[in-house]
Amino acid sequence: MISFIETYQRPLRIVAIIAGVAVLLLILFGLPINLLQSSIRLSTPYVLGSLAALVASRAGVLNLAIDGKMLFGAFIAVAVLFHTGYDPIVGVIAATVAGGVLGLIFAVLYLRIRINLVILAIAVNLFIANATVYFMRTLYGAFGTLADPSIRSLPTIDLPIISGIPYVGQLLSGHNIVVYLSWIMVAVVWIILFRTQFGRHLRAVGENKAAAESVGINITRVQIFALTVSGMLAGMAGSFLSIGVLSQFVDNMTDGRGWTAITVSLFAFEQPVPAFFTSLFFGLSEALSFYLQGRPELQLPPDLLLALPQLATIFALVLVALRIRTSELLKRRDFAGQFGQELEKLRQGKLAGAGD
Amino acid sequence: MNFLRRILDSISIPVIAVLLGLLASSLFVLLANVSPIDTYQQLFCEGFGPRGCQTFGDLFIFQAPNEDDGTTTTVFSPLYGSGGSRLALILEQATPLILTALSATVAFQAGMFSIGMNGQFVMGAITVGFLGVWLPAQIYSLAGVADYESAPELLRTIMHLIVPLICIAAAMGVGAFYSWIPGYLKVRLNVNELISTIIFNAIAVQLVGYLVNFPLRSDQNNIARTARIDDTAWLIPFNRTVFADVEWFSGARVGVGLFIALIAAALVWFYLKRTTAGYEQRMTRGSSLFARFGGISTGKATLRAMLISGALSGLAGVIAILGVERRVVDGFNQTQTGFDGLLIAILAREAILGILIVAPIFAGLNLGAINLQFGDLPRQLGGIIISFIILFNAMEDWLRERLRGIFKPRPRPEAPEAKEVAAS
Repeated sequence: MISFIETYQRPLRIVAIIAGVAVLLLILFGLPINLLQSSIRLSTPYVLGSLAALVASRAGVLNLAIDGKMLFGAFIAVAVLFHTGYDPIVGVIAATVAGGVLGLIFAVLYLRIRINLVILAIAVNLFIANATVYFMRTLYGAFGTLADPSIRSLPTIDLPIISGIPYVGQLLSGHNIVVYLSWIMVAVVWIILFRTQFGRHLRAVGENKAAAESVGINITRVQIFALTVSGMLAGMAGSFLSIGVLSQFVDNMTDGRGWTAITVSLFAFEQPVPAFFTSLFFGLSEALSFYLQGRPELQLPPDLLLALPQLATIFALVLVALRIRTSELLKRRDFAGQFGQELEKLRQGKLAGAGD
Repeated sequence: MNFLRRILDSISIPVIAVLLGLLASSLFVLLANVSPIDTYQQLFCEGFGPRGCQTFGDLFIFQAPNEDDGTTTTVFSPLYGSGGSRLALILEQATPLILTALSATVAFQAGMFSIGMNGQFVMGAITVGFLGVWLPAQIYSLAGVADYESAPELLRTIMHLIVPLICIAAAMGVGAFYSWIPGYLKVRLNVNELISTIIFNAIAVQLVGYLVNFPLRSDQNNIARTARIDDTAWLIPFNRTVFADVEWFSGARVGVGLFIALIAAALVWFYLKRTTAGYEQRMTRGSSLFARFGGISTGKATLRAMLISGALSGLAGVIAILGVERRVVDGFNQTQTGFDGLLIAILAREAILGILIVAPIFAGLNLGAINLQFGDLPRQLGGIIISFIILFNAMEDWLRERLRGIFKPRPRPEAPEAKEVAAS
């Protein structure tokens, strides 16, 4: 396989680009605009969730509790609005803070008490899934869904200039504030990761703990901070689910989106901007699933349509793995080539790297 | 004495974890304005006690009411079985849990943190849900008889022996295949097994939901369900056969499945601890690089572990359908047998004996929590308690340090080497 890629590297790349552009054009012009608009909207939890996942894994912690943190954010947003009846934006802020607090607790349990990361994540996810339902029933007496007139969903915002542009305006304008926040967050996370000292420290910790420690970076502090930020992003994603799309909390409403978000971050090689575009495809698969369910004349079974995003996730996982594998093989081959050259020099009596 | 000490040492942390977990969960009960003691009394009585149990004391010594004359007799609760014992019910519930927990253990001990038990479980269940109906029907039509009632005795006997075996083999195969996919992805492409198995679980649940709702749906019942499996495929529970008169078993569908689970436990123990293959997979987990240097094919060992793990989960699905439910109902896996098995394996620290102890306790807690729902509290309290227990159980090192602070360390005996050095 590697020799095949080697020989046909340029044609392969061109084929891939053409295929990508073709798919994009097909999607942009072949699909109805309301489907595209809703897929942009539905990609928000994936955008925020994948940012949460990549911030944590850039700091060297595989954050598998994103699903639980999302669910917690969704619940807190609704609960706060139910109690206070304030503007929905308060719910978003509350969910973000709550996610951050949960992230902090998670970080302390992992870094100070040293609980196994995977077991901790499983326990946290289990706890949140049960505790939200528990409180929904005991505090609010709700079965399955928690809805109330005092819980309003976020209003949609029309962007001033963009909404005037015919096609683009329809696509990009008229979303609620969390959608726009998620776009801003992509930029913010990118700037923090790649343009600040703290971001450099964070990436250093993720790449080599011992090296980072040897130059005086406080690993624990960096990781605690990363997990807190990760929790805040996940909490915000949760608030979008409960008061962005709907205006109610439904039992186990994240429905595995946190796990998909982790896949998105893996797929994007833990880069914020590619993660954003990958999320759009997951949003599309989800929107497509809803869209097809809304047309009974097609006679498609609903259960299989619900599996559509999951199948997309598996497909993405395999693609990611193939990409990583190929780049690894290429790297190894380059290394072998370089090594061979050095060896040759040594044989000729020159010192490696001593100059020609 | 040393032996006792070792047992005490290994049991102390789990017991402390359970107590702390109950204590932490009691805060949640208090938040709901209910007395924790009453709640726990109800929880344990509904879970483990005899019928009519009211207090913690009734869990051991119970004043059984005499229906004829209104007097009471004092009995030892676990043996008291009027109207069916809850312990039999616990055994019924624990059987699939034991198998899924074993499945999780085998996967963990190859270094695979697979959570795919649930998907493999439902796939195994739907396989026998289909085969248990289809296979006997084929045999009847071949033999030219209408149904079970009109079949000759000999044919029935043969079928009773063969059909369940074929069903078990098929379901184990399906489960193994469903677990092989993430295993293969891990070995060949290094796909994170945790994420892939979670997604495969979701896909399996949707697929089974589709199969039960459309192709395999048998009647226009409100909740979609498959046809009832034929009597010849049925693993008949004890209360219908050998122990038909024993009241202890009445109402509980515990049967041959329990033996199958126990045999599986013994086999898994033997495989992991006494065979080369088991050693290879444990080595793979312990130090993959070292194992490869020693000439072990780590990929093969991992795949073997995943196949065994999937087969065990599929077997759990067989027991749940052939032994207990007798048909697949839409959403029958709301209780998440596979996921519970994973939790049991974590709680038992992947020890086989531990699983056999933890699984019934877990099943009892589930039963108690479900019955709690008829009171003021939702059954999710059970999940909260379990997640706290897992957390505290995983804090082992930290807890031990705290314990050492509380109980002063015993004076250490002086090292003999030091003495010798001093003497010379």
